[in-house]
Amino acid sequence: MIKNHISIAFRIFRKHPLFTTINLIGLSLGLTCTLFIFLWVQDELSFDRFHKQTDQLYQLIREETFPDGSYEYLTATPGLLGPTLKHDYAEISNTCRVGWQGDYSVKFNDNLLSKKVRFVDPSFFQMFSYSLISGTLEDVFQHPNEVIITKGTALSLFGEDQSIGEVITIRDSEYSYDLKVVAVLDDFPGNTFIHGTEILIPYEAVANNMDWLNNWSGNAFQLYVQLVENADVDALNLNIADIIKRHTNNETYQVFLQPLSERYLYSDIKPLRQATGRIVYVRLFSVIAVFVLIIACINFMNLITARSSVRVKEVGVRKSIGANRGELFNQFMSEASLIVVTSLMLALLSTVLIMPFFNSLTHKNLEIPWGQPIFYGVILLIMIFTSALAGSYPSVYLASINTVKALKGKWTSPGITLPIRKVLVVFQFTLSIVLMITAWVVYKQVEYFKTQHLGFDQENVIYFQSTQEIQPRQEFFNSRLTQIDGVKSATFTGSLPTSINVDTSSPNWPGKDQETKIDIQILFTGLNFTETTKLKLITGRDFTSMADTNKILVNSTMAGIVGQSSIIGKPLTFWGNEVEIIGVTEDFNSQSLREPVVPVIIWLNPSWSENVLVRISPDDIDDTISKIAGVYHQFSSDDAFNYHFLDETIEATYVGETTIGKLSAIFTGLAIGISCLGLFGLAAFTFERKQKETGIRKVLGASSKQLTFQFSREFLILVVFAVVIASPCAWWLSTKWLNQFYYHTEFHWTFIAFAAMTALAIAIITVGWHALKATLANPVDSLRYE
Amino acid sequence: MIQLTNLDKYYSTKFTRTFVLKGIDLEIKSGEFVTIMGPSGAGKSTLLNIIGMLDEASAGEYLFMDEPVYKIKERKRSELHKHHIGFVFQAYHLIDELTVYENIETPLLYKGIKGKERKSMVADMLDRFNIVAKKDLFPEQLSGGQQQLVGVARAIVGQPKLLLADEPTGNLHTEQGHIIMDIFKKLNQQGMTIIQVTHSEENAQYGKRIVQLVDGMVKSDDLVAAEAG
Repeated sequence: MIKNHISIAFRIFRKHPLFTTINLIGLSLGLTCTLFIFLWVQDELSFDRFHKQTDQLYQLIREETFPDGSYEYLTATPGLLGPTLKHDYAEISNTCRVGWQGDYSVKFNDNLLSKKVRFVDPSFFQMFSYSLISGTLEDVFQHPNEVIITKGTALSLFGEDQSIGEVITIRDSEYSYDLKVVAVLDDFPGNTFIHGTEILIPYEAVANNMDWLNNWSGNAFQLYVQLVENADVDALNLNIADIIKRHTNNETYQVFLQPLSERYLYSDIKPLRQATGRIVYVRLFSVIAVFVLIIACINFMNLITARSSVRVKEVGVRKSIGANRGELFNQFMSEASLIVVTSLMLALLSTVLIMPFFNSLTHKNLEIPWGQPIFYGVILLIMIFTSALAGSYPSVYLASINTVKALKGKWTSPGITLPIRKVLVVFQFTLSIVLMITAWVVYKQVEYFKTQHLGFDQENVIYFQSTQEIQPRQEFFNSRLTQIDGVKSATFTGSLPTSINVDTSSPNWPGKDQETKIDIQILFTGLNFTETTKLKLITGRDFTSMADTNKILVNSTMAGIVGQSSIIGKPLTFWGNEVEIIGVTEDFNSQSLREPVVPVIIWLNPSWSENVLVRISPDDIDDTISKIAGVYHQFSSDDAFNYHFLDETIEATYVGETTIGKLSAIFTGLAIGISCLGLFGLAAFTFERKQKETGIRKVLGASSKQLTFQFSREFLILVVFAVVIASPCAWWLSTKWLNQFYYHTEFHWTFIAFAAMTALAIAIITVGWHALKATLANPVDSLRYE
Repeated sequence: MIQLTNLDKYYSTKFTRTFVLKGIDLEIKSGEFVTIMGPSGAGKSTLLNIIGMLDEASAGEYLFMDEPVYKIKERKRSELHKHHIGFVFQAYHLIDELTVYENIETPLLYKGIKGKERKSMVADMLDRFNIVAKKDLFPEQLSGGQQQLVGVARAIVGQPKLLLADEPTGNLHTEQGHIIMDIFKKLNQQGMTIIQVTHSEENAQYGKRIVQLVDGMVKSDDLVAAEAG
């Protein structure tokens, strides 16, 4: 029986190749999309869940309360917090301080490279599970001069040679360390918090140079905590909340633990500790995946039922020779399943083919998990779900056709399904148009990020880290750089001006309202800062010589807080220094455009300025940079010259938004494609029913042009309807999304117009082709059926 | 074998009932060869469809092999239909996507007959109707007469007790018609009950009894006079 079903299915597929192809493409598209989203979601959900003790691992979050009642959530914590927690609380079995990733010069013999380095406590390897390639992790970091590197680093430093036991030199702008390689780890996977790091060094190695390790004053460490099994984390959170206050009298800090496995997806902590973040996109795309699959199934259903008149006679005959409903249902169901299975194969194939492209787009390293049983479970589930959804309705529908009418050929598909079909088409196009508009908005916002004037000119600026040799001779180095033809100006800064990470909340000046506590960002610089960044000075004067080290510039926002009138010459105290305001600059974005402009102090403080910023001419950039490298190596032959472009670094801050934008664009394309198939199905269905009408109208003298227009119109009305429903939804969604950025592009009516035109154009092509085909047909052929 | 009592078939609209069959009383015994005749629209095909359980009467009683058709469960009725009734249509109604062999085989599949037995039954039919050479052809590759031979083969392959034929020769040349009618006659002689609907007086002569239907009512019910053979 099954053989009979399958052979008839194949014969029917072969007899209607276009129809079968459309069905296959539609379902494959939907399934491919679902597969990709499944793999992406699975990867997003897998972050830091692979550690042996994942359930016991937490990161400590510091909650800072401001006088106006607002909160900020930070991961930077004091050095003594970790050891204190472990000592004082029985529930805490281990803690590990982890530093921020930094670029360091790494040297082995003549091999000089720039590598990404993090400092960690030795407990790191007891808490986290990463795979070891060679060496040993037992008693690791028991000696301060040990280092652990990744496989990639070993390969670039030592080639194929044995690396364990070799001594490498690691340098930053202040210190050098000779460290012995004791273990090589596999490169950190993409789904862990430490991804990208290439070298791990124990804090013991730098303990002499880092007072912060053993006091409560600086917030310089990320702190990871391991609890004992079955610990009550809520109770513990209550107990540890005020621990910083107990040791420092700082009343604005509270701490709590967030599970490590949630850090990636719930990184954005809102007041009342409501955590959100990428989980929003994970949920959104999951919903899209289900929608896309449902729409693909609905189209499949529509196309099959639209073509049911072809099968009606067969149903009648089969019933008359003894088939009951169940047997017919089985037959049509197995036909549907055959298409579903074939589509699934096609979808898997295209997933494999598109994967590299998808990976480069999402900056992930996904692959189909052929080895995982759960994957086959999901595939089976999708198969059953799709077959049931797509196949059941047509099968029930066909199986229940009245035998006598079917045999007489008097059967027509019931009229009631036409409105439902129309609703489905409107629904699909609404979704497509909403996706189209929002994808366009995301694109516009990303463009806005890239082109927005930040207050300074980020283009044609490179930066790199200063070195131990350059630091004491900044002015000389600077003068050597500016002798190069392509170099216009150079300066030193502490943070990058686009991401200032030093601040104070306790500055003082005459006439300050003591009730207001504000957070002010501090940017250390060398000379020529405004010239190099092209930041405009509004009043006052710039730094002119090293004699100005106790002078500061402020931005307009800061000036507004201090009081605009007679601001020049005002003294300001913070951190025990008294400095004098000598000038006011324009406002600039010292953080991402998600945040508003904040008050900034620019302080001439060369010894704390360890980044070199160089403005170069746009002509022959490569030559200029190689000359800069030449000067750099004349000063420091033991450091790797590792430079970045400032504008690229800024763009990288928005990589999340860029990826989301690209993903939305892809899913939009898919949704439109699938919706077109839906419209195609509806058109096919309608024109099949209109064959006779078309014939009669033509006999009566209607031209093909008139008929095409007349028939297309009723479909285009559906699309117009979809535009009307989609526009406010898209507006609402886009505005909500845009509002999370302090600086954002505005929603414009042309977005809607653009999407509407696109949808209409696509609809006209889809329907027009059908209409033209139907109206060009010889009326004699269509009337002969009667 | 078949007992119809006061059978009605009507279609209701808002205000009126249109009767297709009205007050039909008919008894057909096992082994009979009955011809139903009458003008177009008299309800012949409807009556045949009701007897063949493709359609349901609106009122009245229908006993098939002493089973009250409308009081037994759908499943049982479907079984009766499957095992005891074969259909032959004017338009042949072969399944276009299946070969001759597969068309004949299909009812056996629905009856759940196993592979070997099924093969020999189909082979028997092909042999009997002399269409072995055509077994792998599709219906569109056959002439009308050949298609109807396949249609008859398919109807009787399951050895039904009752064969229903709705104008079986209506689309055929006279010569082809005779062949089909000769087969019917032979089947009847072997014990199969046959009910046919036809316009043709000549074809009616092959049967033993003629029921005249006019406006949905039995006008006359006579044995075929002066049996030719």
